[in-house]
Amino acid sequence: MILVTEIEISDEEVKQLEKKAKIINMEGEVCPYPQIIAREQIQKIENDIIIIETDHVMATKAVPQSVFEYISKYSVWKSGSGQYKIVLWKK
Amino acid sequence: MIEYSGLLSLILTIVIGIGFGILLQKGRFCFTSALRDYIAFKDTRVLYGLLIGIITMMLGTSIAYSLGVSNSHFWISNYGLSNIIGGFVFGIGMVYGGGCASGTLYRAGEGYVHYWLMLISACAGYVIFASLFSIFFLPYFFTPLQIFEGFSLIESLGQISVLVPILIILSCVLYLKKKQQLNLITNISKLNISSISINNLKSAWDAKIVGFGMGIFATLWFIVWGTLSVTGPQAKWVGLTYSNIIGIESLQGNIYWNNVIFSGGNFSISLDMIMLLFLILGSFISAYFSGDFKIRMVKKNRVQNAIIGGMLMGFGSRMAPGCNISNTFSGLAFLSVSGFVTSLGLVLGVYITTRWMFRKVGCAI
Amino acid sequence: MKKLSKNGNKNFLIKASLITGLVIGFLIGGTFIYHSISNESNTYQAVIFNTISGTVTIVDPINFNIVTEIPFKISPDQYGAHFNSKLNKLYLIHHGQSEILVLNPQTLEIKYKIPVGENIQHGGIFDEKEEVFFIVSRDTNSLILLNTTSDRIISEIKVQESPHHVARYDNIAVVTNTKSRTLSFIDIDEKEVVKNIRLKSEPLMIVAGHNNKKIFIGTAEIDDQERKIPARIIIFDDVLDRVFGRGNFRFLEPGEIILESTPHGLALTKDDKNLLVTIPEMNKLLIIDVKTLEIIKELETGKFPHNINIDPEGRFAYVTNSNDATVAIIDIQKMEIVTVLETGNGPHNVQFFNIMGESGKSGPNTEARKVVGANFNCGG
Repeated sequence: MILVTEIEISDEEVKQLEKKAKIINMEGEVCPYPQIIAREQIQKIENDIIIIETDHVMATKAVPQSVFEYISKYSVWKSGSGQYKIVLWKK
Repeated sequence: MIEYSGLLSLILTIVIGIGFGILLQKGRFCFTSALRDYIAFKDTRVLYGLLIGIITMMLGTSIAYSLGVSNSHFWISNYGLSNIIGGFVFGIGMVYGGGCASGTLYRAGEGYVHYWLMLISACAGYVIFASLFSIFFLPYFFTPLQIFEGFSLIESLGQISVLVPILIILSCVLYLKKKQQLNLITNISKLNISSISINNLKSAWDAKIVGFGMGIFATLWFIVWGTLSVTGPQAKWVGLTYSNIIGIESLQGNIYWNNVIFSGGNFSISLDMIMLLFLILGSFISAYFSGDFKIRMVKKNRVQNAIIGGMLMGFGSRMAPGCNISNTFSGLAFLSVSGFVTSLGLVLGVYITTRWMFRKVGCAI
Repeated sequence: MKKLSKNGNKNFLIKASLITGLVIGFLIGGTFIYHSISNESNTYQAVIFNTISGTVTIVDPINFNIVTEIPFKISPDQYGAHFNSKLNKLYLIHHGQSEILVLNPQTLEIKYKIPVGENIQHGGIFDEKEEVFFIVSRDTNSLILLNTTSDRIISEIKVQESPHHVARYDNIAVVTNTKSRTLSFIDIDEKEVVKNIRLKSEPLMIVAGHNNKKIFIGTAEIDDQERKIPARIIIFDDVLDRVFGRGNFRFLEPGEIILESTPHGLALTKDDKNLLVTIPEMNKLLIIDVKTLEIIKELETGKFPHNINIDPEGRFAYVTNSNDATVAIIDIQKMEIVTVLETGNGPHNVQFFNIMGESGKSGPNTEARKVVGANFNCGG
């Protein structure tokens, strides 16, 4: 398995990235749909940066790995209790 | 009506239950993920943790067994074609619903309504199964198919059973060293006290460490009670609740409830049922303090996943018998043939369902 | 979107499918072989009906292990269970009730009830083809013939006062009438009483030879003057001939064996050579040589041995000890007690049938292995 690189980012960076990123809202989805949707969408999206909004804890681990061929790095940022934003940088 | 042998057992039960809950939640440890994500993306995050957990439990159990734990603590089921079918059904339910037996529990503690639904559906499955047991499952499913006598290598080797996990660990170490993938020294040196911070604790834990922890707790549980199992005590809770609704006589007259679930007609709260409650509680506590807790409403178009998946899991776990924990975790740790056979059916069910669900995006295997 | 290393995957999948296929093949093959070898029609267990605890104890008739004890929904009362192997039907006579219950032989659930006469006695018998069920109603003084397929009463034949038990040889039925202290001989085809014979004391249980025409009657310790007299077994060698031939009953000389106290259970061995008798008050089982009419063995069974049931092969006799909650299993040839097993409270009689289901092997209710935990109760 090829491990994807996880990096840390700050709150300001997230706000900046959100402006130019494609945002996919996956709230309410549970396994295995976050991974399926992520894989489906990632090829169609032009943007370099994709932010996935999810409240599924597992997705923070599974989604980045599910699209590992398409991304160079990712970051998980907690936006609230049980709320996450997964930032994916496309290759 | 609570049965326990001593206050110590009760305290240990609570500690073990909470421990499991925390471990599962923090490790995002789900068997479905272990298998499905490997098939779909060759993601081995949880799979390695699971394997480590199984080996740890094997080692711990065989040591405890040699030191005198009664062999009645092993659960070694007779097996046959029925195991494969049961495991298969369970595997389908696992992937379609989105969680295994333990995963459903810890995620219920995290606040997912989807998994509450799955649990309720599984419980309904138990009730339906019990009513069909003597008319159908006993004469046409179990008696013709479950014909081979159960066997566990660990249990049968007795004192020398410790050699088996030691052998397995050694061969794994040698294999990994050969492939130069083992950086054990560097990994262990990273784990010093200073690296443990509140932030680290609050975020996800490495699944391998969680797997190891689960093996340890499972061994403790083996000493206190016996085989680690989830759907067993779940079914007991359903039975107890059901008996309070429709009256205990109806259940006493049902062979499945009276003889199989509550063997000997002993309708009381046992330690494993308490452990289950504290597992959910532990997961809740862990989620709450890590900021992972949120009441997550189920999506309308996924309700059928929860209900169908839960029902299949309910039936599958009764047919196999056992769920992913008792077969794939405990069963493999005991090197029990029934565990292997059921796990095979389970993996088959997971594989086919994963291929089907990921049909639009493709699978790695 | 690519699939990783296609060849590597292919190899892995091939190996995995091979292993899976092998395992499944082994299981299917094993199942087939197992079922074709095991002679299923002969599989049965000894099922002991415990009246007070409302349970049945299931015993493996080969190794005499208790398979399990399961409850069933019957109110505690003395009753007799009779299994009809031809129709796979389990009849339960609710002693002291006006009905017979028909139970599912595997689940013991009441399928339906058959209303018959008042105060049905617990001892009933089938004819050779198991097409007719003979029972006596004490309060209506009648012998009732029940069609076992339709469960309808074929006929009710009036006998004498307070009948208790019935035996049958060919097409003659013999009923013990306790109050009138007589035996009634009934021609089954004609459905009428041919003859009544008076006895010296109160007859209780009766059994007829399998292949000879002898009949054996256990009689009580009280005579018609309410005086205490010895309890007996009375044997008629050729009375049935006289009944068949409508012959002369004048010089009828029954043989007799004096007993210590009132006998209850009677059973003839398959070869008709020995008679087994339980003497409840003495906690004994007697084995009597039929030819010499001598007691050749006395066995201490347990408290208040009640009924005797012999297994289909005729090898072992099961004696229920009602006040002990045990059943004693006796090797008939060796004339010794093989084992005494604990049952539920108030064991009444034993029937032999396949209560476990298809294969009868260790199924979900067995505790065949030393490990605790029924096979389905995952983890215990």
